[in-house]
Parts: sequence; C-alpha cells; structure tokens
Amino acid sequence: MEDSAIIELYFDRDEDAINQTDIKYGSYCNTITYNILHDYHDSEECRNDTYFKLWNTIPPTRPLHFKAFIARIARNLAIDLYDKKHAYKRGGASVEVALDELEECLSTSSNPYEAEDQVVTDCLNAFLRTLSEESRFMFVRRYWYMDTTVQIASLMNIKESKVRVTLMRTRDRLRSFLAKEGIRI
Amino acid sequence: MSSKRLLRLIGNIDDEFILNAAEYRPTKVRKLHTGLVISIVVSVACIAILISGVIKYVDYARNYHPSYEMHPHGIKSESIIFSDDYFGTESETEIIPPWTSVDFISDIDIELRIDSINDSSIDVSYIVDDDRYTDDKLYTFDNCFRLVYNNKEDLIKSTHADPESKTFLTSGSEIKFTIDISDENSPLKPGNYTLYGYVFNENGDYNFLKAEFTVPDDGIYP
Repeated sequence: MEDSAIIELYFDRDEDAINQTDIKYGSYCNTITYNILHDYHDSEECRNDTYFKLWNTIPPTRPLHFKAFIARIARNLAIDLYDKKHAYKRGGASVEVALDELEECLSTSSNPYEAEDQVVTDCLNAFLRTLSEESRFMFVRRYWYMDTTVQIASLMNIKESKVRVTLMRTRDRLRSFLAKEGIRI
Repeated sequence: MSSKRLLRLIGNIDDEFILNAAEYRPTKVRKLHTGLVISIVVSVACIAILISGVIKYVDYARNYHPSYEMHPHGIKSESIIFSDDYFGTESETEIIPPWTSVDFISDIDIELRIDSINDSSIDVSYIVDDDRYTDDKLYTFDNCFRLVYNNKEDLIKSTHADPESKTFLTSGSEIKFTIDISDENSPLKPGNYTLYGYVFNENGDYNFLKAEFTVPDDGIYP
C-alpha cells in the first residue's frame, strides 16, 4: 500500500492503518530499535510504542516522508528506552525526567524542536551536505541507525578499518564544524 | 552539549539523509558505476574502431585508381596502387609473392640505374638493351617508384602510378627521371636504401626492378 493511502487511513481513524504500517515498515522499525537496544523484547515494545505514537500524531501531522517519520519516532523511543534502562541501573532519576520532557515535546507538537536544537540540527544538516556520499552514508548508518562498523562495512562491501578511519575523520570534521559555528560540545 | 544530546539531535536530521541511508546501497551503486564505466570504455573503443575502419576505407577508396587500360587482367590492376597503406609492412608479405611470380622480364636486359644523388634529388634511369623490345610493348610510368630504407622496413617515399604518364621502353632507350627528396627526408640519413621501379608489358603484367645504394655515416653520397 502506498504511504499516502496509509496516512489517509490514520486520518480516517481506521485501525487498519496500524496493520498496514506494520506490514510495510515493521521490520524496518525493528532494525532501527534493535540496533539501539539489542533486545528483542524491548525492540518489540518500542515498535508497538511507535505505532501508538503514530496513531496519536497523525492527524494532525501529515508527514511528508512517512518512512523517515516512522524511523525518527522509533529511534527516539528506542533511545529513550535505552536511556531509561541505563539511568535506572545508575540510579539517575534526573535523566528519566529529562527524557520524559523530551517525550512530551515529541507527542504534543508538530515541531518538537526547541530553538537551540533547531540551530544544532541545521548545523548538522549543513555539515552532512559537506560530506561525500560515502562518508555521509557511514555517518548516518552509524549515528542514526546505530549500525556497527562491521555492519556498515558489510553493507558497503569494504573493510571495517576503512569505516572506522572514515568515521573518525568525519567526527573530527564535525567537531571543527560545530566549533566554527560557535556550538560547544 | 553532551554526546547524548548530540546523538539525540542527530535524530532530527533531514528526512533525505535518513531515507538515502536506508535505501541507498553503495555496493550496488559502485557496481553500477563500474559497469557504466566499462560500458562507456567499450562503447568508445567500438566507436574508435568503427571510425578507424571508415577512415581506412575512405583512404583506400580515395587512393584506389583501377586502370584496366594498364591491367586488363582484372585483379592485378589493384596491385598498381602504390600507396603507402598498400605497401605497408604488415601486408607486404602478402603482396610481394604475386609480384615476384610475374617474372616476365627476367630474361630481358633492362636496368634501373641511379645516376646521381644529392640532398634534394635522386636521378634515375631505365636502360633497355634487348632487341626483342623494339616495339611499344614495354612501358613504365613517370615517377613510379618506391624508395625504402633499411631493407624495406622503412618507407621513405612512393608515388601512385599515373595512367597519363605512360612512357614506352624500347631497345636502346634510356628513360630518365628525377626523384625529389627535398622534403622532410632531406638529407637522407645514413644507411642502406633500395629503390624499386616498375615495368609493364603489353598485357599489363609487371615486375619491379631494384637498385640499391648506401648513404655513409658522413653523409657524403657515393
């Protein structure tokens, strides 16, 4: 089913929208969340949360790129879950609160970014456009999809050492780029 | 900004990057690019070969002057073309045998003689001394020759036979002509040279005569 048709199902409040989303993007969501959580049960939970958030977000939001929209929600939920688990282990309640606040922003606003975040995001977008296609692919696969360097090397049919070196250089370039833009890390 | 926050903000990058990384397969693209490059190289090579063939054909057609007046025996008329391509080193082994087989003047006393050589010209004579050829049966063409360096391996100069310049050779006649070398070949470099001349009988059969000379290392002509 076309993405636009699935979105229409959401707008019609047709529960088949969830089924169709799962059929088309279920494994895609699993890949993203499992790369972050490395736990099938948590990954499954994250996927269900993703559908729930989609149901609550559409409408009113009408995503331009449905696949990227789902991926972004799944990733954020997975990172949240990851942080929660690690914060619990460390006993850091303040981290849980911060993550809950972010969760709230995501669910209530069609533009969930704070101003400063938007500036950083714009910088990141500008930075990614300066990269070669190959470097950009590695960077996004590593830090967005959370692929391992081995997985990236396999995807690109190159040696892992090349991936590691390229990513290291890309991180250096990002640090310089952000410093040049006046953004401290 | 913490690394955790940066990681989270990376999650907000433009959709295009997310989708490209999900759908883009560098390996496939690289293979595609490699295939594309190979296809382009092969295509260019084919086109080059085709153009080369066309150029050779055009050049051949341009230099092709069949003259059945000179060579009534059909296919032999092709051999009258004294173009550089025709006498190229590669085809020479194929071309020479039928020439040598036409040995109609082997028993005729006819000489191709080099009279003099200088930086700009070579004076040449055909000298016939055979009573059987008192009629207009033996002929050649003006400036019809082939000059090679180092035992046929390096063509210095040759000309095309001009049907309009037929000159008959009879007993006692001495036909003189001058080969102009006042061009890029002047002065002739030291080494051994062979000059081939061509003589035809009334049937259009032909054979070549040859005269050899050497330009010494000091460049002084003999």
